[in-house]
Amino acid sequence: MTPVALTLSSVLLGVVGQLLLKAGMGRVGPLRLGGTSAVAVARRMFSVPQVWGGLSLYGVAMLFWLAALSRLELSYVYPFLSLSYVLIVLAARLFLREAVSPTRVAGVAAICLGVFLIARGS
Amino acid sequence: MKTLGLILLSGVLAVTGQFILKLGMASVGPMTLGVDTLATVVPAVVNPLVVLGLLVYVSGTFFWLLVLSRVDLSYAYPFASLNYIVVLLGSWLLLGEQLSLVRMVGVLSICLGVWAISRTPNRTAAPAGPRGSVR
Repeated sequence: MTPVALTLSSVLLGVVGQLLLKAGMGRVGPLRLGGTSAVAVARRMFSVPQVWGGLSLYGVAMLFWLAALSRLELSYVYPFLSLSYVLIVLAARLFLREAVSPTRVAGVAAICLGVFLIARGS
Repeated sequence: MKTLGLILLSGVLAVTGQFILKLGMASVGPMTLGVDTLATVVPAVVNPLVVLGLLVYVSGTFFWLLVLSRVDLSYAYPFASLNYIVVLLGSWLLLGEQLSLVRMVGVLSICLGVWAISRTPNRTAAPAGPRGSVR
C-alpha cells in the first residue's frame, strides 16, 4: 500500500467509525456523567455493537495513520484529515437525506482543491 | 474555563499530539501494513513517544467534546481549521519540513472550505446534544 493510500484509508475508516459511534450512541440515548457510576455508563455504551464497531474502526484508522506518518512529512499528510469533512457531507446527503446547500458544496470544493494542490505539490 | 480557552486548548493538544506522534514514528522507522504487519506495528504502539502522542491527542478530543457540549458546532468548527495552519508552520519551524507556496495555498483553501461549510445554517432541527467531532 502506498503512503497516500494508507492516509486515505485512515480517513475513510475514521469517518465510518464516527458514523457507527453516532448510530450506536443514538441507540444508547443521552448519557449523564453525574449521578450514575462511570462503570454503569460504560456498561450501557458497550452493550451496543455499533459502539464496539466504531471504536475498533477508530483503532484500525489510527494504525493506518501511524503507518502514513512514518513515511510522509507531517505538513503533507495532515491536510488530508480535512477530507473527513467532505466525506461527512457526502454521507449526510446519501444516508441521512440531508439537503446540501450551494455554500456547503463550495466549501467541499475548496477543501478538495486544497488537498489536491498539496497532494500534487510534492 | 471560558469556552474560547477550551477551544484553543483542544486545538493545541490535538496538534501537539500529532507532532509527538510524528517524532515517535520517525524514531520507529517506516511502518508498513502488509505481511509483516505485527513486526512493524508492535514497535510502533509500544514506543513511548507514540504512546504519549496518543494520550495528548485523546485529551485534545476530550476537551473538544466538552466544547461541543457547550456551544454550537458552527461556532466551534472554524477554530478547528486553525489546526491546519499551526501544523504547517510547526512542521516548518520544528521539524524542518519544506514550506512550499503550494502547501500554503492548499492549507488556505482548506480553511476557506471548512469555514464555508460551518457558516451554512442547519436546515433540520438540531437534535439535543453534540453531534460529535469529525476531526
